[in-house]
Amino acid sequence: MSIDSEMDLLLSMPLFSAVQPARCKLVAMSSDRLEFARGDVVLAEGEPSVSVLVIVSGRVRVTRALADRSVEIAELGEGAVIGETGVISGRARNSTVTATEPTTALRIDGRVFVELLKQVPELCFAMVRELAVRIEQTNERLSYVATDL
Amino acid sequence: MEPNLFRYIWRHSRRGQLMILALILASLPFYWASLDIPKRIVNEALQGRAFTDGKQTAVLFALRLDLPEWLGGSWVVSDGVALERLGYLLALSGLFLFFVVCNGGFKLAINLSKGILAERMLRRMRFDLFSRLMRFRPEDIRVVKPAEAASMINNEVEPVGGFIGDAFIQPAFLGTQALTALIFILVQSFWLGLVAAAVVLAQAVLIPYLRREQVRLGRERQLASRRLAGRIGEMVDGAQLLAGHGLTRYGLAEIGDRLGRLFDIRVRLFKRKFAVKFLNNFLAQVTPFFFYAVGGYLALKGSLDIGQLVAVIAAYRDLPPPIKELIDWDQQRADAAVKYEQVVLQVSGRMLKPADDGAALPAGRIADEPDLQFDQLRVDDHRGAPILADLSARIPAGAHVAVVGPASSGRDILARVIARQISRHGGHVRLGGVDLADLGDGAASRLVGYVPPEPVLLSGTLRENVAITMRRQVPTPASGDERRIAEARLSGNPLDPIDGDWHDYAAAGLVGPEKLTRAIVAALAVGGMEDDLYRLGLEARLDPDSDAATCQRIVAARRDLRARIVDAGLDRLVEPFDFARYNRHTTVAENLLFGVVAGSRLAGSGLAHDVFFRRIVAAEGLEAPLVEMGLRIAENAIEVFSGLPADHPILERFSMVKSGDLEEFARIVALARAPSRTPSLATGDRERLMTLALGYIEPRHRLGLIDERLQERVLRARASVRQFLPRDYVRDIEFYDADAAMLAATVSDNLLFGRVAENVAMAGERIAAFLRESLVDLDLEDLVYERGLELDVGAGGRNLFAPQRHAVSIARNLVAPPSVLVIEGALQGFPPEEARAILDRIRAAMQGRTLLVTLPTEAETIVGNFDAVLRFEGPRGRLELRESNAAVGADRAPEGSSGRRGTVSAGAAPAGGVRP
Repeated sequence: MSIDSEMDLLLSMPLFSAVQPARCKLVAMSSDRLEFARGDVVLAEGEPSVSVLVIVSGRVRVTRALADRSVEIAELGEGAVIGETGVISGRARNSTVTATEPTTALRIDGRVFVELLKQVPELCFAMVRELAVRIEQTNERLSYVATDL
Repeated sequence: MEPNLFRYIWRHSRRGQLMILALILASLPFYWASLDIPKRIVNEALQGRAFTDGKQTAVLFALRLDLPEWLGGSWVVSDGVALERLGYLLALSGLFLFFVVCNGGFKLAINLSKGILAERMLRRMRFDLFSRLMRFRPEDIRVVKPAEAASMINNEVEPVGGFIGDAFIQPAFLGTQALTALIFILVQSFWLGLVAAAVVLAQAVLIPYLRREQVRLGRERQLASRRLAGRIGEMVDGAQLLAGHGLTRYGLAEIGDRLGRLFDIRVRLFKRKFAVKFLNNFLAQVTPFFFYAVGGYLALKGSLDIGQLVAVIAAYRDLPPPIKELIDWDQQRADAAVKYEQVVLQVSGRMLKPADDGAALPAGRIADEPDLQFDQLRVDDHRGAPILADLSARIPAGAHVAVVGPASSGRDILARVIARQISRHGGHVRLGGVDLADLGDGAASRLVGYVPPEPVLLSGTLRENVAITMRRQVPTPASGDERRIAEARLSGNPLDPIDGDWHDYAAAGLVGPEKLTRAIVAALAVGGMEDDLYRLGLEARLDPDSDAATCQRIVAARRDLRARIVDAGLDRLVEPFDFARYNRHTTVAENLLFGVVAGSRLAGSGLAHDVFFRRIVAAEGLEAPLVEMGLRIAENAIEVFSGLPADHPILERFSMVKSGDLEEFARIVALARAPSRTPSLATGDRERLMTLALGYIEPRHRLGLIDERLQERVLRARASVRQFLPRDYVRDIEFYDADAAMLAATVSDNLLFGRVAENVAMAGERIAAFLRESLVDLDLEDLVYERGLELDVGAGGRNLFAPQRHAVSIARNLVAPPSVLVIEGALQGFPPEEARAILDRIRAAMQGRTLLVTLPTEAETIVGNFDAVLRFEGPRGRLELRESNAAVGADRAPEGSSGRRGTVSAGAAPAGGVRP
């Protein structure tokens, strides 16, 4: 897969859909393409948030350590973006991501990602929108939990 | 510094000046003789006055001393030589030549002595200015513009230095020469002497008067030039700010206006200068008119002989140059005095820190574990309002104190006062009873360290920037250094040898240089830079001066590591160098060479320009594919990089494309892709495109430009390079060789004999971790760190990221830890968790020593771990004690306050305290 196909992939994702193709190409060119074997840890909880990953192919599982057990939060596939909140907040990774099958991902250096957010208003807005959606979803879940209680 | 230039010169160079003056006096008889002999040639030899009364010979070189009778009467030194007329003429001419040579010799000796004296004084003056600037108090040095100071010390004193050699000698030399010539003319003819004296007088009075305006303009020019230099320096520093706010046009207009004003001053100056020059030249040229007219008239009347007239004219020829030069000297004097006065003004009128010899305090003057005490500490702003109000407190040795408050409070002010960044304050900071204000920098810096919010890095290596705080031990001069020392003494410069080892190993707890690398690495690890340092070391080239034993160890380690990599199942992470295979993780150029470029001939675009390689590339049919690759890279770069700032991180990744080159590449692409399909690009354009292609790595750049066919062609070209490489290229390429250390290659290339796969997740990190483990076993860990420490940090540390600069700033304070360390806002640039981890490591490193850390008000979770908290609201500080650390005491808790909290107030007397 070349930069052009990576750019097409990024453009097909909600986060990058509003970004101009040239800027999307910039994101692709700024990143590393990494191959993970099944079982490889893509991101580890507690480690510094220094990069953002975009899943190009394959699947990953997101888990979080709670007390003495590991709780699965989500399973993600092609097009998923992971690790971006930690890069923005400057906090350590809050979950572990493991490849459940051979997976290819684009790794965007955290500094480059932040720089891109500053320079590409469309990406910044898309990121804010994505975070807003997540907050709403979390609120919704919390309200369900509260109702159940 | 002495405000009067002449007194400054005389004080520091009178011995040299007097010696040269003696030389000048010694030269005068020779000068007189050189004027007198032409007269004798004309009168005695040509007109025959020595051969009157039919004499065939005349005596030359007869010398008789007519002494008084009581001294023995006349004494014949030489009877002379009897010569015929032609011999007489030739002998006198020879004598004239002798005196001409003597005069030239004197001039040479005088000028050389003068030049050396001037250079010594210039060196002294520059050093005096610089050392005085270094003694400015922190408040004063902060307002000095670096560009102005550099311009002042470097450029402005240059003409002053040039004048110093002439200050006393030039008027003495030229004055005596002119006076000799004038007296000579007067002796020959009183009236002609009077004419010459009148013209000289007119020049001496009129010209300096007219030059006064010139001096004033010169002063104006100097001030305008200095302000321009300062403003340019500011604008270069703030170029990003200007661009960010769209102020570039305004900035350009301002500089244009300043240049315009400078132009006006210079034009007025030149007009005045050349007007004065015209008058001077006119006066000098009009005098011969009188000599020819009046002298000729007197000669015709017989009251002046021809020989005298010729001698007067010859003597006058020697008169205007000294007079002119004397007037020039006067001009230079005025210029130099103004410049000196301006420069001295910049470093005068300020209270200076006492001169510091860098020595530590005598042993025993301060206890091993000194308490830090503030007595009535007060700092006012420029309006007189307090920004730190009457703080009195005692912090026992070894306490770790969080200084908490908002940014505008006294929090940072206190930190700066302790760190001697603010010297104008009321009250005292005492350490072990000694007032820090009474100590020189050398003693105080051993006691108190300071990590500022903005790290200051100097050009040089990482090692130098960390160990700089250890450079306090003045080395002993090496033998053979006597000339340097003697010259430094004559110039009033320091005698200390800069090449020696200045490190104070004892301060770092070391016995010698052997463990210094370890100490530096440990100090950098506190700021979280150990991993970065290791990576930098792996990416650095081997030491070009590596000895044979080190090279052997590297080759042995290489074999061992290969086996370990395979055993650990990491072999898919490293693609080994194999002559028969294309290595996807190295550049096209490295694949072509099967090695790395070593010399300057093939570096950068040199490979694409090189005739031999161009032939190889053409022979293997690679030129067209490489040019096409270059075009594709250029097209992508133009599409993506246009409009990005020059320091955008992506430009590091595409290091073969510089942002400044995009316009040029756009031209080349437009030309190459034109519909008319112009068949050939210019050779230079093709070479530029090939240079892009030669730096390409498929897994990194991912433009899909390298297929198997191209790889095969590159491999064929590689074989041709090896087969046909001319002998004189041997030093320009370091071939990959499994059995030899490759000095031009990186440490990583040498150890792995291959390249880490860029497309495998975490490959770099995993291999680095693997190498760290393995190299400990192989005792090669220090080699990597040492190479990493040789990284050039660049001007102001620009080659490092901001957290790395902070890590260096922290490390330099811990490598030889002081009794008290003050950290002001240096951790705020780190993410919270990392900042906390760094703080924990700093505290561990400062265990048993006093530590003060400024923290924002919201950092409550961190504050809880400290022995004490000094909390600021506005200018007032309030000390809060931890129950488990009751040793840290407010001098006296005010009535009504709880046992855990006390206001640290004015007038409180030291009392109590518990150990942390």
